[in-house]
Amino acid sequence: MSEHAAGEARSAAAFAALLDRAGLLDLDAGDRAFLRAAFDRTASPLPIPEGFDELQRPMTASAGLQDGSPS
Amino acid sequence: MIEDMLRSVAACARQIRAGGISSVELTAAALDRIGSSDARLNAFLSVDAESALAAARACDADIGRGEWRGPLHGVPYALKDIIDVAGQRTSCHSRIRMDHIARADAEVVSRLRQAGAILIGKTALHEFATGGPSFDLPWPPARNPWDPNIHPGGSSSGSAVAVAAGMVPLALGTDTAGSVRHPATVCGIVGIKPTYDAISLAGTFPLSYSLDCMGLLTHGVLDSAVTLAPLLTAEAARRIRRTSDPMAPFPGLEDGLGGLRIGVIEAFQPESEIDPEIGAATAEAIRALQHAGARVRPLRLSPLAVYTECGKTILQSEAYSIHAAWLRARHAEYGRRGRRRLAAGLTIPVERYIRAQQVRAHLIREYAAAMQSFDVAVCASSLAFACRIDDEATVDRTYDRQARTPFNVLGTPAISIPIGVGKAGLPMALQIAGRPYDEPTLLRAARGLEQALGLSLTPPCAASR
Repeated sequence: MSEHAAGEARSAAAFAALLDRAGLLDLDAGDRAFLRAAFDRTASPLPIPEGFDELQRPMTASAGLQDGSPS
Repeated sequence: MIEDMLRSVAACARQIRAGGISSVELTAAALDRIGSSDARLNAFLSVDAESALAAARACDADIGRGEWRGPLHGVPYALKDIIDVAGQRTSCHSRIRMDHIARADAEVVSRLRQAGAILIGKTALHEFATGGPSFDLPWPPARNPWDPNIHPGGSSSGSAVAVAAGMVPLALGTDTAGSVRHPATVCGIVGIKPTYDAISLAGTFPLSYSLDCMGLLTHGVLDSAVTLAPLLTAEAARRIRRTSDPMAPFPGLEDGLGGLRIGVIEAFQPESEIDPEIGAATAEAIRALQHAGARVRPLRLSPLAVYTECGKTILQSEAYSIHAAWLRARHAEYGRRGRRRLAAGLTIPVERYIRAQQVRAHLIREYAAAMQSFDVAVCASSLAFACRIDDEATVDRTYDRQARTPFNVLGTPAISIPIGVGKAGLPMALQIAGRPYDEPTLLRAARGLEQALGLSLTPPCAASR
């Protein structure tokens, strides 16, 4: 099996496991394709702004939304 | 003329207070208008004429005793059917919630009731405020009064249509990624989302806990201002500058644009993305701001895609967490578009969600720093015109061609103001955003633009009545 095919197989297995955990194994083909496309999109990294600090504390609640000073 | 009054909260308020018109007359006119045009536009999921007229009679009796409760007293309004009204169904435009009867009023409904506003009915939306116009739900999607074949925007579609078509002067919606400003833009009216949490969401079905915001749909900026003031939470009322005049509730509203420092967010309207006609109208509106005395300069922020992807990641993750159990147990009861969008969040790993919240914190700091040199920021609202409502692929594509989501990510106030009608007869809008809790400056700028342009947009269906 080529590296690409192996990667595809791993990805398909991970996607199936995800649907299994969510209890959504009985989806129709259209729903499955839609979610698979969404799943594949998460493989590309989230766009990051210039100067982003990897250890930036996340915004986990509304606090700080209003005054631009998140904890 | 009573139909003109149905296009202005402020005009209704002045006339009701002065005894020039009764709330019963206004409410009856609203009901007539709904009766004559809503079969084509599908703005309303339910209308409760009897309760509305009873409430209007009570308001008139108050006025007769000299008791005027403020600008909303006796004014008819509509409510997105995702917001609870005691004893009424909150359907969220979904089969899933067909049998859900609210036990209590949402906080915002209580406030509207106390202010004397008259609830006419509950309006259509995208299922659970996501997905897009759907034809496989218990009710049809709302239609655009500028052209019923065109998507009216969403998800607060029915609320915008009800206002744009002159059925009611005021409607409430919710705005998680632009769901008030989008339909306002494409229906040619004003849509505002205030600072995050400035209006309570208690009793409103959530889509995304940390992005959801209540919003208002009206014809004019003054209408937005007089409606917003009585709906503010105690905390927001403490932080937002106000006056004691309920008809001019925020200081500086009529001060014009002179001296205002306005930043143009070019990153949110890239030339490669924006429709040329909308781009030209946006540039023209910005020139109008300048000619009216504003000091206009570019405002540099991160690219639109950074904001949009951050918002989308947070929205989808939080929405899935709300719907996971129903998606598992009642999958087939959702409409196709709604269930796909809601289930998409399951594909987002937790580290991506956390990363999005980290990015969000960075963007909030970036915006706060940039806005130290500006009073408000402006950019286009939609980067593309609304398309046919039944063209699913194009609806999906145009949904992402917008610059509204950044202000949900930031939690700052933002307003969509009509700036004209394109060659194909569809409205265009400019978006103005402010600093957190600085609604007075936002509204001053919006009012200034409205006056500088002097537009009064009336959709064909409202003009031909």
